[in-house]
Amino acid sequence: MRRYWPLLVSCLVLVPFGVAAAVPELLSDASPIAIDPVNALLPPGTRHWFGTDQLGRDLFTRVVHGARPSLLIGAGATAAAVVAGGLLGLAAALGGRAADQVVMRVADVLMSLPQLLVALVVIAVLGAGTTNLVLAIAIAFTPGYARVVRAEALVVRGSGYVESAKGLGLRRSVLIVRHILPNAVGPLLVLATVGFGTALIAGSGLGFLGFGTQPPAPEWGAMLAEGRDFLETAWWLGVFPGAAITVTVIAVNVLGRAARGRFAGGKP
Amino acid sequence: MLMPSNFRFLRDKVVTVALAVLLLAACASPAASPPGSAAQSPAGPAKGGSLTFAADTEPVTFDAHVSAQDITGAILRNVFDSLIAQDAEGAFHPWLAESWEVAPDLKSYTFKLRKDVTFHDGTPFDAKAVKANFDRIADPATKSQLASNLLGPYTGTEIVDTHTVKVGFSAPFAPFLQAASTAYLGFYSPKTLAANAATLGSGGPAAAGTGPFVFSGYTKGQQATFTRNDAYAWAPKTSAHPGAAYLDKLTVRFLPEASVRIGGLTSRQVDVAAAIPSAQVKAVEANKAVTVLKTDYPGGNYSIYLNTSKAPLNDPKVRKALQRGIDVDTNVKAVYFGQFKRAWSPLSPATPGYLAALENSWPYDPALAGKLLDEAGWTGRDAEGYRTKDGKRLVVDWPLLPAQYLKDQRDVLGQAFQADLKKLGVEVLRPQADIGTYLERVYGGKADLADYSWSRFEPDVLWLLFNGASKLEKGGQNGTFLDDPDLTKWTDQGRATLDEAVRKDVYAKTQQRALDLAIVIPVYTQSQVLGLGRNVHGLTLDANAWPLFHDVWLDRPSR
Repeated sequence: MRRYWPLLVSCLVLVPFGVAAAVPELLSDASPIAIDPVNALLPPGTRHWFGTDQLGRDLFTRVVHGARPSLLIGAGATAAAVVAGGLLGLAAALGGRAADQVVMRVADVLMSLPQLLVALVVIAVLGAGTTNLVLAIAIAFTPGYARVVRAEALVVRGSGYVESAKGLGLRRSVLIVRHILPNAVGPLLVLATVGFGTALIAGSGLGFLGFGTQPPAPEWGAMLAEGRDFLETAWWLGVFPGAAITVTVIAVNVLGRAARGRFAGGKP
Repeated sequence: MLMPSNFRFLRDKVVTVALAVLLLAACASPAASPPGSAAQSPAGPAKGGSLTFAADTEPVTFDAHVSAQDITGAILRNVFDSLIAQDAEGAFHPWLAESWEVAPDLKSYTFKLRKDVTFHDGTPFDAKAVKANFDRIADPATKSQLASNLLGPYTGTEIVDTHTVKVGFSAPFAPFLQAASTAYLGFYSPKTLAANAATLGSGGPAAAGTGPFVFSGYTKGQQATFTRNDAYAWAPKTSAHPGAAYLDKLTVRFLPEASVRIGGLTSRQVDVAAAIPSAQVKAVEANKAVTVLKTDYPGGNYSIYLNTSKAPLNDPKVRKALQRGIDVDTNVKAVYFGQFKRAWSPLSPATPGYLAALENSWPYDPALAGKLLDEAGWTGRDAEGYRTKDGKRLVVDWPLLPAQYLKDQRDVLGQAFQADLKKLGVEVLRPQADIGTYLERVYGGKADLADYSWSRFEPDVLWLLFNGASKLEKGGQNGTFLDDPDLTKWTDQGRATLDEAVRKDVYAKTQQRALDLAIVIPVYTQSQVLGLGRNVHGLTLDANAWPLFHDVWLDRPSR
């Protein structure tokens, strides 16, 4: 039981964030963008649990409503990167020498640059905005996934059961879909859990720089940026969005590590 | 901030923004406190020491004739002298010109130059130098963004004798004396103009002027350094002493992050810091080692200009509704902690000709705004609560500058206005894109709203903002896209006369009419808010609210 408590805590921690992302109205019925300048910069109290920001908006409501864009950016980017990386990895492993060379050399080039830098370049080309941000992070993270899938697919391709399936005369497409893909994709999913945390941080970081969700809509990274000039005078502006990011990422990482442990342990 | 040419417009805006910020930093206390002076030490001025000034923006180019940024003028003021000097009250004093005469038709100005002035590279300052500099500014190849505007309808400089010049204009041009007192019409040595014209933008010793400091070095993204010009002996009366500066060395560090500037100031790593954010002023004032110097910037207030050339703002009722439906007072107070004054006129109270009668003349009135929108036919409501007419939603497009050009949390203030107008049923879009897209939308007249300020100690700035000939695509700044016959006539009249009564009258009428037409929503008066260490003495601000370092001296040499 003791082995599982970090896992349990992580799950429990993630529940409210999940609820906030799915139905924010459940946690706070106020509007995240309605201003009330007369009540600006109130410290945390009974009326405003997390205090108010510079325009008198309720910070708790904004953190709650900020969960959806923040988590969506992380999840969307990870999902897109996993799918794209998976397909490219399979293509590289099974598509012959030429495909392998092309895909892997491009991946090498992208991986030689820091992921955040790649994402910044993509945003510079596409422009700011939530969708572009997801795309940018996905492009930056795809090569990593592609490599893992390629390596796994190569291992699986040479395994006995694939050889025998081939011997039985199965068609190539069936072979890939029924035998290679399911067995190569496990480590990918584990990697994706950890990758989600990284993508969330990247999304918040780029949001901090003003490239993500556009104001007045709340997003944790952007809220952190708004609060940075007030650290000395109104600590709650930076602390709560920052804590939201930190707690979510840690919880997700704990989950990811647990999953990895299971997979590594269960491997032949 | 931006590169020249393509970005010219942008640059202007950006510059404006930058200026505004700087101004904010430097000028917060209005006329009440004369160009500020730090606490005077009983010991009197002491020579020596080195001072570090933390600026919040960095010049895109150090070429005074090209740049339109405030920061460029503010920094190069230490390197360049002007023909004449303007004091804080607006009066003119001799500087590089001993005396001057204005032709009755205001089409030519004759300056008698000082004979004892030399450039940093040893070249003597004479009539030829004046001509070479003015001709360079007017040359389209220079791609001047501001200085050529300051020269107005310039036709040429005539060398009357070695130390007399006659500057000619094709039309009467009253604002020239003020223009001639700015650093943008400063003088490079003719030798360096001939040899280094293309590289003046990168500063350094090539930028040889006649001023109290020699431009000794520049590291992009970090700092610019200046050393004392020991030969200097021609400071104007507006300075406390005529001779060489007290400081051995002046370092300008470029620190865009406010917390870094403040941290540097309180830890004594910098001696003077520009643009202290409103939120921090109280905290900085509480520090015993530091004082805060505030002055309002003169010129055009930070205002929102309404594009009258297209729907929906071609309808005066909708424009009026926006003007009265924004709670300027409350929001400016909240965002700037009461540090900036809300504006009532497009002109700053620190500018000659300011029309005080406009104060409180157009208070926040959401009921009236709603009524006006009803009258204009925007009576429908869609699912999100926005007003509609013939099934079309009432939307105004207000592009947001890219983050690196945003100043004073104007984006936050914009969010407040956005929320005010949402209550009225008006949707405000604030797309943020790269600077090229921004310029294209705003200068191409595709946006509905544009916001900027324009610092200058001269009501002629109204010509730039409202004259029909001041078109954005031609380097002007009339973001209303309106050629109103009255506004054009009055602002033309204002620059064609030196008669104070006439100028006062036409500029008052211009301010009133611009508000009546609801083509502008003045928002706040920028202030220069400087933080300075208590060891700094003699710092003053010029009429443009820029810090002057010629008279500055230190208690003890700083590290």
